[in-house]
Amino acid sequence: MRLRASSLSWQLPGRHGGRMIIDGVDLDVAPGSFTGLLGPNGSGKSSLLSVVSGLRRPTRGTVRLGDDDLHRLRPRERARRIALVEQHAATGLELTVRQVVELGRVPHAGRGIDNAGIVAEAMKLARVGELADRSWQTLSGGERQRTHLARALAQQPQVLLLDEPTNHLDLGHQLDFLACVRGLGITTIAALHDLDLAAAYCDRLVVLQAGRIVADGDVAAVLTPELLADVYGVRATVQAHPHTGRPQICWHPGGVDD
Amino acid sequence: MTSLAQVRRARREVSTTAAVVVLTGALLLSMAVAAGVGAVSIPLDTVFSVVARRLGLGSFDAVTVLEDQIVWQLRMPRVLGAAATGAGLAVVGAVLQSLTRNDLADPFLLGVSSGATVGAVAVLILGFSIAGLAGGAMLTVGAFIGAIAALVVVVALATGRSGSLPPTRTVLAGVVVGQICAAATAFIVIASGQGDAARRVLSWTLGSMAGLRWPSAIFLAVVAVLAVLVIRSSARQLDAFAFGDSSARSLGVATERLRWLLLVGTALVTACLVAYTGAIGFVGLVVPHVVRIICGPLHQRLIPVAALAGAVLLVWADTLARSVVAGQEIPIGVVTAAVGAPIFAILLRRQARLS
Repeated sequence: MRLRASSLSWQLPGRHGGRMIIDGVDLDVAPGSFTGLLGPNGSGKSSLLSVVSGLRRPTRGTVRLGDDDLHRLRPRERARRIALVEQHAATGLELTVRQVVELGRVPHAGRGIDNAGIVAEAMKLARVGELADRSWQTLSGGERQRTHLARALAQQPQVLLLDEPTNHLDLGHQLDFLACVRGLGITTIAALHDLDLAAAYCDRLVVLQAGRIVADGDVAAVLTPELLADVYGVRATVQAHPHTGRPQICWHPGGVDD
Repeated sequence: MTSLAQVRRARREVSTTAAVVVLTGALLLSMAVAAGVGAVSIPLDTVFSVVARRLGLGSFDAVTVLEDQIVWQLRMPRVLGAAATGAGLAVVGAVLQSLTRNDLADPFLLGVSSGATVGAVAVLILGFSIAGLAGGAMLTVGAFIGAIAALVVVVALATGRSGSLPPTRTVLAGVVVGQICAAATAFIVIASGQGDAARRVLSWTLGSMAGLRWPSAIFLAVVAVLAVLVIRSSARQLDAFAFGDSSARSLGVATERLRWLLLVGTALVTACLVAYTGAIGFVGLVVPHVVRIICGPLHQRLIPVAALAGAVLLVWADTLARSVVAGQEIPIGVVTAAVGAPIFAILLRRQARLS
């Protein structure tokens, strides 16, 4: 499903108009593509995802999913089309992995569909099928993140939004998680911190700075030494990965450019 | 894979049904036994005969008028009222704990009990009355008005610009109103100079089922059943709060609207219960925790099981309250805490050993 954001802005609520967090973002995401959302801390990645997911209403602009205005859809209808995996969603409750994944069926409740089959399929895709009866509280970080992915897949969304999904995961689990998402073929937008991971798995990169898009395009066009200097203030060499040929960042220690 | 999941799901649903059936049986039996206990002890089969005769299931000539009066007119409304109050408080507590993600949330979170106490004090000590209302009924009306007034102030204090009731601010607004009401209560009690004022207020606060008659008992039962049905119908939405608000919203739950409806709705339920029976503590705080430890946190099972468990607990607490000390009633809140706290302590220890 095609997702289009047009002149999207979101302002912190405030008496005289608060700070602009998202400032005139235009984004057109092709069906089935994997878009990486990059940018330094506070550049608006999470805010953009929460506006695009429909959790927040934009101050200006629209998000269209196919032909529909996302923010005019009823919440349940929206949750059947778009799913979000948050940064650190935790619970103190004693839930099993299956019960967590079944939460993904909440927006579909009462529609008489084979929920058990869909939940099982989602767990298989996210590779948590073996963990179905394990308690959430006993899972490792990587297992929790894959469980959240399975929950999002159980929503049967047309668009998948991931907010720094690989945070707190070890290297193996990071690669594993992104490979898993990439293999799904669902339209995906992921906020990422690790530029090399983004380069390795995304079709397209969008770079945010102070709420605006400063670079947008395919991986090789976006990840340049100039951009890294501009946006992150870091001196770096970009080279081709010896194995995949994709860009790889080689940053220079102490190399804040001036 | 699918069939295995279905089998597991089926087993889980059967066990919910089984729990509900067993607990319903336990509740009905408890109510029958409780109706036989008291100054005049009445055998269980006579209790059944009285009830069956009253329900038009036969003539049961062996039942005496006295037995009929004691069981049907004096004890049954009281037993039913206790069951309804226990069920209502338990489900309200469960909902509030889920909505605020706060383990210490109880039905009195929104200042309802402290407001009701001020209302009760106004009637008991200051002697407020409305023409045509007997003392007991006036106490109920006064407590209800106090409870609603407190609720209105809490909601007004906590509501944000967009009409939302964020949990933390709501809890704090409840604390503010509770403190003001407690101060007012204490001032009135002390300033009244009546020697037994404090005792009367304390005994009202700790709750009692004494004096409940059929109309009140039926009203309480209707309130409790409605509360259970409405909350049960929101069970899946409440489950969606497991990972917090924004997670619930991303699952399509209209969180602000649901929270407002449920916070205000449950506070109204609590106000009705408190007005008749006093602010009975412990049930709404602890029963949901005990049920969660045994049955898990999903609301489709939690809500009906907590309702039945709360009902059984209060039926027995009321029975003890009126039979432990001959000729005198202990406040029911004392019994719920004395019986419930040790059970909770045992469950906590068991959980601590397993983790």
